[in-house]
Amino acid sequence: MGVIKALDGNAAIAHGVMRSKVQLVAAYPITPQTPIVETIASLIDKKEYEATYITAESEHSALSAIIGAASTGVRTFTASASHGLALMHELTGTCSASRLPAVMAVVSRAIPGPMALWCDHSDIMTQRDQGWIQLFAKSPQEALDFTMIAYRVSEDERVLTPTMVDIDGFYCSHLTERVDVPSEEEAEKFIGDFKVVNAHLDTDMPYAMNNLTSPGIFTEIKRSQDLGMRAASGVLDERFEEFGNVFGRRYSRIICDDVEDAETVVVCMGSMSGTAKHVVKQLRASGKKVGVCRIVAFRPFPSRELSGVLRGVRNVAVIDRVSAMGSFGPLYEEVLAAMNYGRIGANAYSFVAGLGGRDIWEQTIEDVIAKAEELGARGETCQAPIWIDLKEEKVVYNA
Amino acid sequence: MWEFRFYSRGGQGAVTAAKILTSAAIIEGKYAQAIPSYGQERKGAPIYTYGRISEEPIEVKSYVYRPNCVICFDTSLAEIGIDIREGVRPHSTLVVNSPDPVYEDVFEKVFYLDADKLTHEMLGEVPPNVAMLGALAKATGCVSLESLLEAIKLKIPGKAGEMNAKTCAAAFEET
Repeated sequence: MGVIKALDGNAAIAHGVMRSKVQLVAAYPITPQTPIVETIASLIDKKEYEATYITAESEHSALSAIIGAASTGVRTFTASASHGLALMHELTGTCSASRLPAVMAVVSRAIPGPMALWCDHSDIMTQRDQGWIQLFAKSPQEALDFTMIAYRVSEDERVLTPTMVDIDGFYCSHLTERVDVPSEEEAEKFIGDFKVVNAHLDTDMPYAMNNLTSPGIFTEIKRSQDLGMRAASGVLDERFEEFGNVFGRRYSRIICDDVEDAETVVVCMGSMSGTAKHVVKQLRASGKKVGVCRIVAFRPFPSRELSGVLRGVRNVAVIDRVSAMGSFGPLYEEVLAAMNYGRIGANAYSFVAGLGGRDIWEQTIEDVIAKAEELGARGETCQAPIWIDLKEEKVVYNA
Repeated sequence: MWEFRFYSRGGQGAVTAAKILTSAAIIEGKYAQAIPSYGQERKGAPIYTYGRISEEPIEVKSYVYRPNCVICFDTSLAEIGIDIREGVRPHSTLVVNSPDPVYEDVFEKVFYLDADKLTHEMLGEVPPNVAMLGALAKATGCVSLESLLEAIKLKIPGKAGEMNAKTCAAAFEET
């Protein structure tokens, strides 16, 4: 049996790393991620957890160390956020193209500028096309669970693709809740020792990885990667089911509430999904036909599943916690592609909210739903994203 | 569901208090959450912390804007324009670190305790947070004193934990 503890999202991830029997951790601290690596270092220091911990001199070095270690065939972990993730950028592509099944926790914090410590998705979205599976947890419990699931999916020989487990800075990383921490024996039922299945570095048989790749083979390598990523959809389904059977906590790539017969559906990710679920439940009680569809796996994106859910819906309200300045948010674009895939003709509106730590609270979600219903009733198309939590009087129009 | 807003200054231990409260509720088998709003912390600066306790799983992950219980560590926050009455629901409870009751016209129930004085007498120059938790448990019954003391000893091991637990129990009695 597991132990029920009061943990925040950061500590929950550290416990997930320990229970996943990660052999090597390399990291550089950055707010709001630092407590993850502090907790891991402390667990190792107290001899509760045996692993190699490398204190790197930068995030670039931390991910380089992960790539080096993973290339020799060990299970690895790192964590970062914002500026730190930006500094890792060139290595995230190297890691995924080398088909190394590393796992990284991203504690989302706005990319500067302006300089901020607080949550939005502008950091993780810089990584959306770098070839990593991306899972968005909404609570400390999910942060722990998704970390364990991530290893099983990334290491699967049909996938061999690294995973980022994303939690929202402060709204999950520093949110203390009840967390069921699996015991060592319980965790063992789900996650065993690391087995290397692809090519790895061996001093008895030296070779070079990630050499200069000619145009004659580059496209085929990228396509192989894309196929690995696409295969992750089915493998995620399998592992979510297995995890549910072992621990009783059920997940899937999209998680929907109250979408049957819904006229308006909110599509969102991360911690705001909890708040959206809460608001939808209240609105349902007052007779409003609303629902919420939460994207758990942003990569690979569950286009088919989402289009199935949105069939028959009148208004789709997509909330991006990032602004794609001059265009539409990344989640909105994915939703449009999914709707096109399923030939769904609903109204779809793009909302921007929660930038740089602004709280997405009950009122924000209520405003999103009201606006989508209002525009939908007038049959208006979405000409530009709607900045729903903007303080209009503070905007400068001609600076 | 209990929805708490903690008002304090940096160094008064409200963030830790909210975490201990969460831990106490979880010990009792309840659902709970503590969510601090971090800024560039420094001693004396206003600090806002939020919490929830419920018999059901708590889905909402945002700060608390419509509390039914306010915990005020420092009444001098009013002097810098912080209004602890903001957003409170009807029939709310106030727990305040003060020798006298305040805002009895706004809150249905006002529980007051000079937590600074009690803490100073029992523990010395340390934050009044465990005393405030004792007062909160007495005021609301949101957690039992027993589980609160257990949570304190879990957070602060050894002799220091025992002394903090004693202070919390004394505050519970005195409120």
